[in-house]
Amino acid sequence: MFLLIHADGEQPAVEADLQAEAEVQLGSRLPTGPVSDLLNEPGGLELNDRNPIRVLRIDRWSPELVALLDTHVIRLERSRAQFLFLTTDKLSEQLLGAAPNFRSRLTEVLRILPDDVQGGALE
Amino acid sequence: MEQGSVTFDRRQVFRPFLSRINPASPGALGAQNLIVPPEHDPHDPDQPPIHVAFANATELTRGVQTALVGGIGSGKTTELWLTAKLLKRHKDAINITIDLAEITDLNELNPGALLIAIGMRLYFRIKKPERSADVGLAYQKLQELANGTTKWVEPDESEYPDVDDLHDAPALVKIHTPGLLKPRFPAIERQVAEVQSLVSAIAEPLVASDAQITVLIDGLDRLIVPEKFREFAEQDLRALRDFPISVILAAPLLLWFDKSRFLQDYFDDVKHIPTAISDPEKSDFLNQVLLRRGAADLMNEHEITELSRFSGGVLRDLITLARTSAEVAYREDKDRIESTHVRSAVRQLGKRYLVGLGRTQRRRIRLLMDDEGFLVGDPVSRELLVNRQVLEHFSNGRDSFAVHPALAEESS
Repeated sequence: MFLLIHADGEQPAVEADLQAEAEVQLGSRLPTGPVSDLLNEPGGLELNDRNPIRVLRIDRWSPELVALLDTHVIRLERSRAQFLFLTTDKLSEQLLGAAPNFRSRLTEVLRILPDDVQGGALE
Repeated sequence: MEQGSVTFDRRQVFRPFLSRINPASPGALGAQNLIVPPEHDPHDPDQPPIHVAFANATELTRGVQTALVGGIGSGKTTELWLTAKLLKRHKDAINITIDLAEITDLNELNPGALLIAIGMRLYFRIKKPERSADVGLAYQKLQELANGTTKWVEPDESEYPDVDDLHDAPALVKIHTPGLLKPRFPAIERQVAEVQSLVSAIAEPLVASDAQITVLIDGLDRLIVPEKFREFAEQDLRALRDFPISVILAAPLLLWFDKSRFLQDYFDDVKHIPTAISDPEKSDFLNQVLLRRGAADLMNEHEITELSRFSGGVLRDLITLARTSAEVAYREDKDRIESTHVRSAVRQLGKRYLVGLGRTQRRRIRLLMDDEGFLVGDPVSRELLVNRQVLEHFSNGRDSFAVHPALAEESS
């Protein structure tokens, strides 16, 4: 599970870059949606071998959603899928403070920049 | 490629290590004999390890309720797994293992919900021919309570009296005179009492067979707000007190430091897992964890010791550091994990702990690093503790606190 932090307003560009990269590397599109999708899929996250990676946007502050993410992170981990959580600087700070279980199970926290003509960048 | 030449596939060097270092569950770890059981209670080297103490208490006293407290990633789930495994040495042992996060949204946990989960699991432990009509009926009612029911009825006009009539109706005013004797715990709610009687009916055949029934509950420690845990204990767990069914559960770390001493008051026994000793000169436990999972195949003793030291004694961080070090080494086209790869993993972990720290938290961390103390009572300190930026240690009979070494490294 990776937390990818982008600057305000860069989410569409970052998502487009991730999609382009997935299509080149994996030959498929990444399922992408808001983190509230987790609420709508109580019976599992509809992950399968074709889509082992899932992009989830955290684009607004919701204590309920963060609490859900924090207490159910074990289910995400056990799914053995890979999750890329996209969020902004400010939200990441709030999120990591309020969701210690989630923080503890993150593989990495990365700052992501949209691709430019010289190539993409992950810090 | 020349015929007969052997291609060296570096993936085959790292894949086995990564699959051993981070299996899906303690069960998978246990099946591969990858768990290093602690040799004694972390608070007292003369006492048996926690899983042995819990198993013994459960075997000897029916209905005992015990709690296990520890920070995130301290190995509580593994302790519960070890306890369950030990309890199975008796043929009549019935272990019900529940991870609440798998069943319900912990944030919306209603009183009675856990009791329902226990009742349903108990039902499936009764052999089919032994499920009487009463047991079946109780299970059906339990299911209705769990899932709710929908009924269609004719509207009753008497429920909608004219507004004018209401003015004439006698008004009832509630006057409550508090009792002189304040109960230790609030009364069990009516709905919980109803669930309790259904669970009693389901458990009856198992209880009658004199089985050793133990419920092991994981996941409640993820309730960061201790009050929610307290509510649940005062209702569901207390309703179970009437049964010869033992309970062992994981509880939130903050309750260990709570001044009300609720845990110690409510439970028959409470065990605390502090962070493991990360100084390899004082204990080789963390090194043994890595060695058991094949670390010697990929790194030297120096790197193993570094990983242990920078984990701060948090088992999950030990595993994270080992995994990240392997990934860095692979990325750099190396066949073994070297000191620079470990350092890179430590920096990565340190950054993860650094994100989200405000000025107040950073000042608190600085004070602790300068040995100027740490007050566990205030909200900022508690948040640092729950997030593992500050770790709790236990040595020489007292708790002490230290900044996570990976964060300290990054902060300095």
